[in-house]
Amino acid sequence: MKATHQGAMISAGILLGTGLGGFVDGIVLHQILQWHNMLSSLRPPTDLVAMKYNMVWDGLFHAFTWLMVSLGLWRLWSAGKRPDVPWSARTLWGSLAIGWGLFNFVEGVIDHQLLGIHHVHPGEHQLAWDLGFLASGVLLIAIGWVAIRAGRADVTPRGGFRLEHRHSHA
Amino acid sequence: MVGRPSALLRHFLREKSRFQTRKAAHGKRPQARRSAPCRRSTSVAHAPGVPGALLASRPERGRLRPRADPASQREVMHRTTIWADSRCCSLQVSRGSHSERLDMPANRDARRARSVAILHLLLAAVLVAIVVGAAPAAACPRCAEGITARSEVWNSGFGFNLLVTVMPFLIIGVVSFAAERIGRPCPEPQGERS
Repeated sequence: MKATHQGAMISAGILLGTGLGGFVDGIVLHQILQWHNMLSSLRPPTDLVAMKYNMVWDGLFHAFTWLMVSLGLWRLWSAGKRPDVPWSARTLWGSLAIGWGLFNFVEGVIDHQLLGIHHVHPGEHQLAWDLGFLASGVLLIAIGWVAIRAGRADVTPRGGFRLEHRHSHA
Repeated sequence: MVGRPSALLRHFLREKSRFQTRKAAHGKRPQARRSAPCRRSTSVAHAPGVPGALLASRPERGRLRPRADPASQREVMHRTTIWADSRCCSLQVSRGSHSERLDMPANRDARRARSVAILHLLLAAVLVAIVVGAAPAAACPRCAEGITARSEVWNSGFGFNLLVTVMPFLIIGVVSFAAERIGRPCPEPQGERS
């Protein structure tokens, strides 16, 4: 039997990729580099109260990111149990890339451009950093799309098993 | 009317297995035209090796129904009828006066997905409550800055800020849900078996 239901793995990969991309943003940009926080344009972290305020919202952001990862893991586990889902590395990696790219693009458009609640690197060349963030999202989506299309050739389900008919009356 | 589920389902699975084995042996496929996935199937199929088995879809009802060949009318009392809902929700297996509805995997998956989604939403609510309200567990619980910061979180547009924070994840969640349908297979129409 050929496994053709790519969508199950794509769905899982998108959720996982979104979560992982969110963690990269939160850990690297919010905490290590401290370039911005969730609401740093509305409440700049210039004193302790403002820093604590932004830390709460960063925590909530990470909480939702964690939820995306856990949902993605559950979907991936479900997909692996199904015989109609191709167990394809290209599809999974492509979906992860699309998820990460979607996070960068959607979060960039909504939070950076439309609402302006924070920017990637506020100050000089702020727009360039924001546009670069959006471009990275588009690039990741394109890479993921190509990988998923290549993954359509993979039709073996997890473990390479085939459906066996237990009650065969030829 | 509901008969003996386990015997009926065993019979259904056995007949399905025989049909698929014969199909593989003959190297033929049913002469079916499938114009669109799942929802509105307009195919007419002959099941090889199955006398009198003729399926036709009626788009206005969205169901696949068996139509008996007059030559096999004498087999009416013994045939197993399988009705497939073209919306991929369920199969109804009936034999004589006994029938049973069998949920398709998509239906079970949907229920399971809803349960998990509800659990995750509850977990999110718990996390929000812990982060915002668990003052005694926070560092610097009684210092002025901590009290002021938590007060500001609650009092300065909490709802809007929460919506803004969660919106990208909601949008991507919808995209992910839509992507899950890619390549989803439809249940194939089954022929009548004696």
